[in-house]
Amino acid sequence: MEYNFLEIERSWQAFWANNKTFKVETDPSKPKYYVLDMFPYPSGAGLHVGHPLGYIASDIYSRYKRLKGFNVLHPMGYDAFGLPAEQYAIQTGQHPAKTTEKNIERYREQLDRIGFSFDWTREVRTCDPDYYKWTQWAFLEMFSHWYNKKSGKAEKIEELVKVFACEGNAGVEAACGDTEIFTAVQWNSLSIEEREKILMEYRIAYLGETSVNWCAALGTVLANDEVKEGLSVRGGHPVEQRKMRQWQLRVSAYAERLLNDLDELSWSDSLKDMQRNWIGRSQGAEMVFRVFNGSKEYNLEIFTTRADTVFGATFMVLAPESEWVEKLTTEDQKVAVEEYTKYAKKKTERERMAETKKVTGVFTGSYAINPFTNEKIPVWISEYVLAGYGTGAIMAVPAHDSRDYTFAKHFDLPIIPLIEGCDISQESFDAKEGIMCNSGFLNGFTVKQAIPAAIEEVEKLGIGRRKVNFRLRDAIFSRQRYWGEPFPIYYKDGIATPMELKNLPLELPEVDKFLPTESGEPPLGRAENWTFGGYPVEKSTMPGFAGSSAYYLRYMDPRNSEALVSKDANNYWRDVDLYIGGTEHATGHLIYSRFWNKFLFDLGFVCEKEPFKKLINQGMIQGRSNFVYRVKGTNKFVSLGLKDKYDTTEIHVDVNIVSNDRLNIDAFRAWMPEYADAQFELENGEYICGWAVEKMSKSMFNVVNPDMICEKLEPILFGCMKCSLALSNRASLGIQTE
Amino acid sequence: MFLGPLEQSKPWDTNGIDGVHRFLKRFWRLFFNKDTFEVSNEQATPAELKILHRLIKKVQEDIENFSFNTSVSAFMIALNELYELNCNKKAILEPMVILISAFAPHIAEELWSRLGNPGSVSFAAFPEYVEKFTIEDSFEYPVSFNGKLRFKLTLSILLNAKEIEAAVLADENTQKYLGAGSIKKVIVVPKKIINIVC
Repeated sequence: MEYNFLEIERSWQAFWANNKTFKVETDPSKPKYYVLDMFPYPSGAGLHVGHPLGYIASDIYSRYKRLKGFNVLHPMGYDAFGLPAEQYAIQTGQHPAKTTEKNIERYREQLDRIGFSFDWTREVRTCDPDYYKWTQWAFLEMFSHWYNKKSGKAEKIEELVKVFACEGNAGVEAACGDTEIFTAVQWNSLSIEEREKILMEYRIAYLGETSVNWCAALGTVLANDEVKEGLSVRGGHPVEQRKMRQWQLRVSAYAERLLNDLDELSWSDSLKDMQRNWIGRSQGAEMVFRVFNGSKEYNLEIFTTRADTVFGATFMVLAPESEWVEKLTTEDQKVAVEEYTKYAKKKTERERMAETKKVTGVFTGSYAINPFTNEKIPVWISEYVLAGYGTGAIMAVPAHDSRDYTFAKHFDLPIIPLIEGCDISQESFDAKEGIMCNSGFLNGFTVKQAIPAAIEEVEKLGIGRRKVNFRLRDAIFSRQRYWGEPFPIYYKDGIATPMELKNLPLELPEVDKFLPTESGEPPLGRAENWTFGGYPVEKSTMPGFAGSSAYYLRYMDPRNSEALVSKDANNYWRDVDLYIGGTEHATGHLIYSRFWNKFLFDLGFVCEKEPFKKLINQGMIQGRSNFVYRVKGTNKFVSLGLKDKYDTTEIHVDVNIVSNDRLNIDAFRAWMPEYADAQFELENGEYICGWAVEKMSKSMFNVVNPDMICEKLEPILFGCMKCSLALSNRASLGIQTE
Repeated sequence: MFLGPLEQSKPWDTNGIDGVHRFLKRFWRLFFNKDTFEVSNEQATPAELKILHRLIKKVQEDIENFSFNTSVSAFMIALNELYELNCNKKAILEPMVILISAFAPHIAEELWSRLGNPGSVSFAAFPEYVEKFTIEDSFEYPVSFNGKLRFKLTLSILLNAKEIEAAVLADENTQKYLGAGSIKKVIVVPKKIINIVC
């Protein structure tokens, strides 16, 4: 008897659905195992072929763990807020909720046909008010907590207020913004507005000034990857760096823990390194240089990891957006500096970091005093210094830092070597090794000895102190868009005031158009009565990563209306044992989720300090392109084996009309009008196509729709066969992988 | 950490679907006698158990290492070997259905149910790997005369050098190649070679 694939597959898929075969409950008699896929954004194009291959791997593993006697949690859902649905809404007027719903339906159909063992009773959608209630709740918790560095965790802001009222803030060690020291008496005499302004500097979710990519034409802030060469990727409108008051999450408070806890995770070394670099811990010193602009003198603070090289600091550099630029620009240099900062404003930080060839900069006209040599050194401005790292100003030591070196060479600034015998004729000597010279009291020390000795001297001179610095920034949490979670915040006499849990979810209001208002407010400014108790409600919405930061917790207890996740469910399922997804999330979602989890851990809502124990990044799926060969100047196509006899052009052909490298000639004629009367020269009655492995893209006609897998027999097995076949091809071709 | 094929980039390849198709059809046919579902309740032989337990070991290791593609080729090899032995024994096929259910759940459910099991194969127990079934119990010795290979002789690995010598001398092939000559010395290296000096 022949195996009737289609009939048997349909009947067992129905069996699984009807019997809820893969529905799981907490079961203390069995060990748990939690297998999670990064949930998809339901785009209009349907499932991408890269999705199912990751899902197939996690499904095989889930089924294996079930056979091994584990109680397996294997859920699926949708990361449903996002820009494409909003853009579509702007173009067509179709409500993003509708578009999203339709897309989700299609995704579900596609997923079902592959035969995954998901527990669909636990499905979540981030745009569902019952779901985003808990995203808003977490934000409120962040708003009402501060990070105590002494206890190393988040604590209630009410407790902080009590401390302020009793003893002021001198004894408080907090991860916070700029605050001045005040006494209890001073605190108690402050107005509510003044107190709230100070507390805002302490909250973990806070409103603060930050530099953003502002696109006036689109009326919104853009993420770095939405900007290219000073223009918005969408529409090509000018984008500039602008200071704006935005909601932010104090992710930086958790930098040390995010770094240290990486050690315990079963993640690939490359992924851990990406996070380590992103967090970017450096140990060094903060120190003050005296600067003067001809009329006034200031103390300019800088951060350096190489205090041992102060003797070689021959100039200083400010970031173009630094507040020092205005203070230190002299009358003579004003025009040149203004022109330069205008140029720098057009570039995103990422572009500036990536810029290594072009050297740009301008002299402020001011000078600083090197505290070790007492020499007068010029203060410059250049885009290679970033405002957010350290203090946005650096001491430049061209002999021992490659970017300073390039800059000094370009602008002909002095370069003083500080290591005996180092060769700096072609490039700087960046290694932290050798014996110090030209360095006063440090002469004769090794670099390793000189670093702490120099910091000690800095502290002794009273011009600075030891300091650990992180590259990790706070996350900007406001978007001037419609299709996201509204903030449960209203403005009472101008003061940002939180709603309460009982007011949640705060549902997204209806608007007539999904565009900014005429006066430049976000789309929620169009909503009627967007108020709370008569007060105006926040008009920006949360970013894409808000909803995906804690979804793995919600799956543990998805229908709970009292809590994000119950204690019982969380104590049983604990954390994700295996997480599968792409590396593109290495420094976004995977940092935010870990931060979110640690915050909730501090508050006692979750029992594990890390969310994802083991993580595997599935590789990229490349396309296998097919080619036909057209004889130049004709409409004649010759089969692969004959192409060397003619002068031909290689043309990509849609892989969907090629099977086993044999071209379907009728389909080819129908494919494009210009081929309707094409002539063919065949081999043994067939047209053989050439092929190559390339990036999967529409322009190469090699994009495969996953429906294709669904039509295959035993889709899961097929998916994993694909890997094996693909690998043997790859090996024989020596194709470069990532 | 182990870098499995899952983590590598790979091209999407629509060719080769026939291989999957053929494999599944052949697997299915093992359970049928023409149009009738028929599996034997006979005890499995050591050779059959060896095929099964090698496969259990391989599949388990591969899944733990996220190297699923190599599991699939192991299934294909095992299937070929079972065909050679004409094996349709439940004692072998039923555990194989469980093994394959992680990769090809639909066909596994159908066969599992036809084997008379209630419910889904998803909650069956993963077959336990028993090492003794996979240990080689015999060795195929190359038998040489004055260093020249003449024939091969399969003997139990439990035999010592003396017993091996006795066995090789008693073999009719030895008489054939010895002819009229006489044996000067028999060199035996257990689990390696036998050399007859004459």
